[in-house]
Amino acid sequence: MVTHAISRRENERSVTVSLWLSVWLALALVLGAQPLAAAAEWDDMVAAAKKEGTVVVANGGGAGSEERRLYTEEFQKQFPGIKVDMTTAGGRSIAPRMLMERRAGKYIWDVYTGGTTTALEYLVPAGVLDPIKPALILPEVKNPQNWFGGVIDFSDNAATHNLVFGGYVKPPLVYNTKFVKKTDIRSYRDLLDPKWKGKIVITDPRRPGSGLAAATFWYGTDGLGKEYIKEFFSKQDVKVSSDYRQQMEWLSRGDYYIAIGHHNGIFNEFLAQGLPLGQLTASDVKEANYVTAAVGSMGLVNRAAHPNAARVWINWLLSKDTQTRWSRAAGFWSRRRDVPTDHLDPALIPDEKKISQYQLNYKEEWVKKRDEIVKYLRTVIR
Amino acid sequence: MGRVQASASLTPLTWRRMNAQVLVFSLCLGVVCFLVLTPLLYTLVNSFQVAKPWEPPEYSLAGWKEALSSPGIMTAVYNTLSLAIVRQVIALFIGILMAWLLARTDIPMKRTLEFAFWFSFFMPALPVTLGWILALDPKIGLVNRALTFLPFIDGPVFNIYSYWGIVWAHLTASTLGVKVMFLTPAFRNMDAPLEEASRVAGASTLGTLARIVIPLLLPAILATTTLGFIRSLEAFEIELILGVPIGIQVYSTVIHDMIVFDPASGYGPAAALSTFFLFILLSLVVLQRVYLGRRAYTTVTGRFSTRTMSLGKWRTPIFIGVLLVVLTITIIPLGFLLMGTFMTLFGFFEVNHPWTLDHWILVLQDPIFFSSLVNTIKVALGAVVLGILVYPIVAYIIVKSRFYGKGVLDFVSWLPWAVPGILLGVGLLWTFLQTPGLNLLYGTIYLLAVAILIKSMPMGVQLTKSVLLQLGDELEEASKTCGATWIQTYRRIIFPLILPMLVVVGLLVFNSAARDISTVVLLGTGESRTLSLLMLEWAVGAGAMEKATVVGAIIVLIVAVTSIIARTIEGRMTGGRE
Repeated sequence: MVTHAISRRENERSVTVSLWLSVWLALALVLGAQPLAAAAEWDDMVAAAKKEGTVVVANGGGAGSEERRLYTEEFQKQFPGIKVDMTTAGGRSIAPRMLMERRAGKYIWDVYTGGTTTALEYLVPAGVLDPIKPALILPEVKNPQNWFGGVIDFSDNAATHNLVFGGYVKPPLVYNTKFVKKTDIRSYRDLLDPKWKGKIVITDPRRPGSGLAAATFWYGTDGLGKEYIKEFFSKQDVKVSSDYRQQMEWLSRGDYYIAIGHHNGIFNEFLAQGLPLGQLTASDVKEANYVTAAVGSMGLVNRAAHPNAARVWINWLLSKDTQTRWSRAAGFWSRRRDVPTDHLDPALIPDEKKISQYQLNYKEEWVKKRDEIVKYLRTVIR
Repeated sequence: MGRVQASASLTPLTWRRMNAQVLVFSLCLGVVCFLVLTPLLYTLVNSFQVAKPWEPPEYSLAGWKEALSSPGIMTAVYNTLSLAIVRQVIALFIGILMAWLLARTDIPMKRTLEFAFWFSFFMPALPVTLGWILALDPKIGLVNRALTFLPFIDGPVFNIYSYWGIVWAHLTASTLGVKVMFLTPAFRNMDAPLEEASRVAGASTLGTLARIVIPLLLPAILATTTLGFIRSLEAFEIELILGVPIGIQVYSTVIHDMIVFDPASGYGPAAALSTFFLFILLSLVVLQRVYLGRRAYTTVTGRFSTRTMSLGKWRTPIFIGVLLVVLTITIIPLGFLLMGTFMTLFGFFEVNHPWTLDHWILVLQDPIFFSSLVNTIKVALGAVVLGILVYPIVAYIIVKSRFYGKGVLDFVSWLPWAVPGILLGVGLLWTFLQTPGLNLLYGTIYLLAVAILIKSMPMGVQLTKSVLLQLGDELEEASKTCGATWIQTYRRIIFPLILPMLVVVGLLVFNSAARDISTVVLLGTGESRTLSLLMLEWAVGAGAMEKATVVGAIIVLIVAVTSIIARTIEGRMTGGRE
């Protein structure tokens, strides 16, 4: 009897163990099959991309040499057999050209990368872009936990077409350290002080660019708004410039003491040469500031000539390794959580816990407001 | 009776030759009209198109209303006309004097001096202007800084960022140079006995110049002035750099803003504004044709000869004066341009390490530079070959033939300059996208070569016309009397006589291809990028302005080398005619 009891218990144990083993095995197969499937899908895609042989990239952000080298030569090293044909121009040159070509039945471009304005004002309304999420293959790319805020960010409200992979917190202003101390300005309202009259230069906010982004921030911020904008432009004899570089030259020479809507890259270039320049960060100013996507957004062009190569390029760009190199080459923050930021000024990196304090200037809701804002600006700037 | 006898005297061979000639001329008319009119037609149609690019087309006058009522447009139009007239008048006086001295007197080193004027035209406007900024900026300009050492000078004497700064930059960049380039061959081709007869009759040297030489050369002078004025109307780069920062807008910068800052809605008003200026151009063309049509301007005949006039005791002072002019428009801006390429930060002498070779090293090591260089040479050579084939035939039809369509051809050949380069580029974009056959060229360098051919057509055809007008009909008639066909006459009589001018035309086309930005900016791709487009890309990108200046300097070097080669070839062909 005991023997029978022992045998039955052993039997039950072995059945239980077998059952659990089976469950674990099944789970392992299912879970393991996904990366395997993904790997197989990726390999198939790369093979198909190599047969296509080329990916045509429209870079609407004016990529610098290092970025361009990354986008082209580095990709080609990693994927020999796929050539990158990249055209760099302002988004405003790229967009109408793409639209005209498509109207004539020519579908040349595979990928768009650049600012969100071009995507939201032209490419998305024109139906040029495909949803991008289905094109994300690599597990590390499509895992939202690898991205800031636990989401893959998009500029369009539908969160489908214009993926945002980079950007930074825009410094409110830069100044000449011979004439301005950091503590002189604690709020945007301090710029209304008569001592700054005739000493401020702003990038023309009536045109797309950093100046308009700054005006958009003021327009939508409590305590500033339309009244502030009107007072700022009517009382402070503000110089409006359409040339980023000239703005920085004037600032460096002391022709103007404060510059708003500056170009970060040009500022860093001048600062590196020992010129007397400084910048405020968002935390220095009561109203904080906005987060811009800069040139860190992308879109997957539909009816592309090389759809597989486009998908390979997109996944490659969004991978940790490439985003790390992109962040260093472009000098911008990558939205990937696992990309090092030690080379960046901490003030430029948004605090994930305080994201609600920033205006996300690159989002569709703000981009769409710009017509209204520009119309108002034209009444206050003569 | 006489008429029947005349018809009966034409042999079948003659009829076949005439029909072949009409066929060739008709083909030429058809091709030129298509290439020129189609882009302009798209521009005109787009001026009434108000829908966004992704919406179905919708036509109205809204674009015209916006163009003509946009803020500052009247001031921009006034600035455009004012700047154009002022610099054309100044350049014309100095240019006529320079051309006459180089072609009709015994001034020393005339070939070198003439080449220097050519060279000044070849230098691209953007880098040259940057060179003048280094010299004449009110704060950092080296000339201003040097002058402050003088006891009676307190502040900056010159300000490049001003109305007269813009005039100066244009005069030294191309306006004066192109006058001398176009006028000197025309002066050279004038028959000497005409001047001698005037002096024998008691007229002074300057009196002969004013009452004999200039009226005889009026076609060339008028063609040059009209060309120059039209080019002035679409001047862009110098105004963008020097004028916009101080609030001086011109018509081309307004159009540029309309397109660049709101392409979804801006092409309509931009096209409307261009069409407006097209009417001004048409008026100029009509006036020129009416004036030239009433007179005969033959100066090269079967008994042609040239003899230069002695300057006597004024030879050395006049030579020094011309040399100073030449140095001012060539060496000085070029020197400052080169200096700028070695500056760590352009215009800043007070940084820690103001000088560096890094920009040159980075540019020359970048693979994209060499691919752009190769593309530039291919586009330029392609455009030159096409231009030398097409322009003389078009000019011949207009000047020397009785072809029924010559008036239309003359008119059409002017039109590419009536529209700013960026709008012509849009028109060409549409033309090449929509036309079967031509769309195969889209995205290739061949498209860029054709675009340059079209853009340079007014200049090429008008220059060749001015020389053809000076060729007497008896040269052709003598050839035909000897039994030569039109092709044989063209190849063995006409072409050699106009070859020196065709060398000039080829150079100018090469120059246009090397430095053109606005026409090709929408047509170039990564594969067909030229040096001028690379310069633009780097000027737009952060931290790349200095590299853009390096590319500008290299473009200058390329056209300088090309000029020397062409000038040497031209010199051998003209032999002892000087």
